[in-house]
Amino acid sequence: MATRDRYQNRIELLQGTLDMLILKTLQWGSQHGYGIIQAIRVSSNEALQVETGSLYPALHRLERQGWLSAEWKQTESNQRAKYYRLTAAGKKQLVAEHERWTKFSSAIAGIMNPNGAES
Amino acid sequence: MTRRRRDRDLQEEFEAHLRMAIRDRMERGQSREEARDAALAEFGNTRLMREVTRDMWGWASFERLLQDLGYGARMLRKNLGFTVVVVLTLALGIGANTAIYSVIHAALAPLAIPDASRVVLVWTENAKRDWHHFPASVPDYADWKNSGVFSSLGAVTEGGFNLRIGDQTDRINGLNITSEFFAAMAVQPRLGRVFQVEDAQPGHSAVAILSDALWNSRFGADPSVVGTSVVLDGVPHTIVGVLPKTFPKVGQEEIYAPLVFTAAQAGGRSERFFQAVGRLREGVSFAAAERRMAELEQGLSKQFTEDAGHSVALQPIEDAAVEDARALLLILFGAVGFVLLIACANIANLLLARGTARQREMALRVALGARPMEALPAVSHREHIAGPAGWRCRNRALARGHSLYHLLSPGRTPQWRPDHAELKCAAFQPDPFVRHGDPVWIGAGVAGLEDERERRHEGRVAVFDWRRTAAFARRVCSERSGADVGVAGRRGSNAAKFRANARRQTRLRFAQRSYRARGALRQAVRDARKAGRLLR
Repeated sequence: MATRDRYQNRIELLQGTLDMLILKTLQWGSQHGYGIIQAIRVSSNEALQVETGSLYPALHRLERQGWLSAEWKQTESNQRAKYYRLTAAGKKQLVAEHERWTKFSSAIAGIMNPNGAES
Repeated sequence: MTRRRRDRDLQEEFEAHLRMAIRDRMERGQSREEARDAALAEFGNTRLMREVTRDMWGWASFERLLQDLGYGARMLRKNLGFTVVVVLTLALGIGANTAIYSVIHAALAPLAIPDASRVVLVWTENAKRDWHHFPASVPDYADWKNSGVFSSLGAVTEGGFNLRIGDQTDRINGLNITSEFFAAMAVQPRLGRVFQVEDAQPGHSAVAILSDALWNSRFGADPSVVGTSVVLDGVPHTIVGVLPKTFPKVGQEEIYAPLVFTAAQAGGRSERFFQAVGRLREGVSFAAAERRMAELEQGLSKQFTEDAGHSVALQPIEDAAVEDARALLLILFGAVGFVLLIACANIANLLLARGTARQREMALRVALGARPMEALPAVSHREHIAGPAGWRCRNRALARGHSLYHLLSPGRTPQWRPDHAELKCAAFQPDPFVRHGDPVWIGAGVAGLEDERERRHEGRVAVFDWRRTAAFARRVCSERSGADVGVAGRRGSNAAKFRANARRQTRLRFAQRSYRARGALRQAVRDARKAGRLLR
């Protein structure tokens, strides 16, 4: 089954990266929950499928922390949906998380590729 | 935003998500039916998601408290006998304490007179004749008044009057007092005036002052009563004033009339018949007053044979008011304190006894996915509102052999509500004495759900070997069957390891503890198999 196969190919999200991915996805404009999942899936070449069960709690958590704001708007296909938008604090948070991620991933890369071979 | 609105908002958000997902799939060529099923399956367990998302709003613990309180209240209603016993026990304990406390409060409260600590009773003492707290005579009184110790010193006798209103006559208690009494008490009347020196003049003494109680009971709290006439002991008296409600009483007096000394009384030093009440002069301390009065009395006792061997005692009026009562009241207070203590101990015992009955409930809560800390407050809150264990009904139902715990309200399992019990729920009935290969897992859908997708799995039961549970759970997960899954197993078994793994993968809820009821489990499995609802 196609869906089953795709499921097998997915990479599980690392703990704590979901928030960053959400913030990053919203960097270029507001988006609704379904759109965020699609955007992450497409930009990760289908490798990352964010579970709705993780996404919505995360969105609400980020909103509560003041990094996102939400409002109901019409979609392009003229349906109502709740759009999330990055706040100023959210932008700062994105920069901070991005930096941390860069440090982290280069550190891991350094360990995994000790000969300096870029992967 | 209110919680209700937020909930609706979240529901709409989910629906919008599903609509978009279905639309996308239909655009890719799936039929409406297929698209909907696939979208729902991909979406996951909405109830669980709703709950997890709600937790993010940050009022989860408050919500849980409300749930627990509500649950406790329902349990109280279900266990009326227990409730009545507890309530009565507490009522008795608290009631007795409140009653005694209110008496103590009233008795030990400061008297409602200004600077009450400066008001003293003056007593005659005679150690040789063993006189203690003896009254005063008029000549003594006159000497004391002139001592300079008191700014005013009044005389009081207790007595009774025949009060006639219309054709009804009643015996009431009253005080005869000199005008200095009110000066010593320094109390303003509520209406009219207090006695003046002229009121003690012969021919002017037919005046009276009412207590607040009498004014209310007999005169209808009529403010125009001042200046009217009332018959006391057959003689018309003019009411000149009404005292405030807070005016302290010596005894049960309700009316006040002037005290006029007769010639015989005024002359006799041994005519001791009244109580002297005085207010210490400004700048005279209690100790100084005692000293000066002692000196004075010593002189008098030498001077007059009637006063030989006498001394004087000053007693603060506040002491006099509670004199004998203090010890009694404190003993009573102690006693009722113990009554409450015993009541509490009894209730604690009752609860302890019920606690045994609640072990199952606790295990079940945990089994249904309550984290231990989540399960515990539910217990204590219930006790807070004197909640009974209340598991009895359920246990009885079980004992009747129905054998299945009716359960699983997905997503809300930590606070398993008894009113969900009537749902035809498939259930799991794990077993602590499980052997390898025994069927120990049953995932269950629940009947009576609003969610259409979940309803499709109504009554489905899954049973499998605990060694194969990971595979099963993954399947449940990938199919997103919407079933909640109970996991049983011995502590420290592979099941624990699996649980951690499976929880991550499926976010389903898992049992950590289990029950005896193997027969019930087997029955459930048999039933499910017969009905073709077994999911292997």
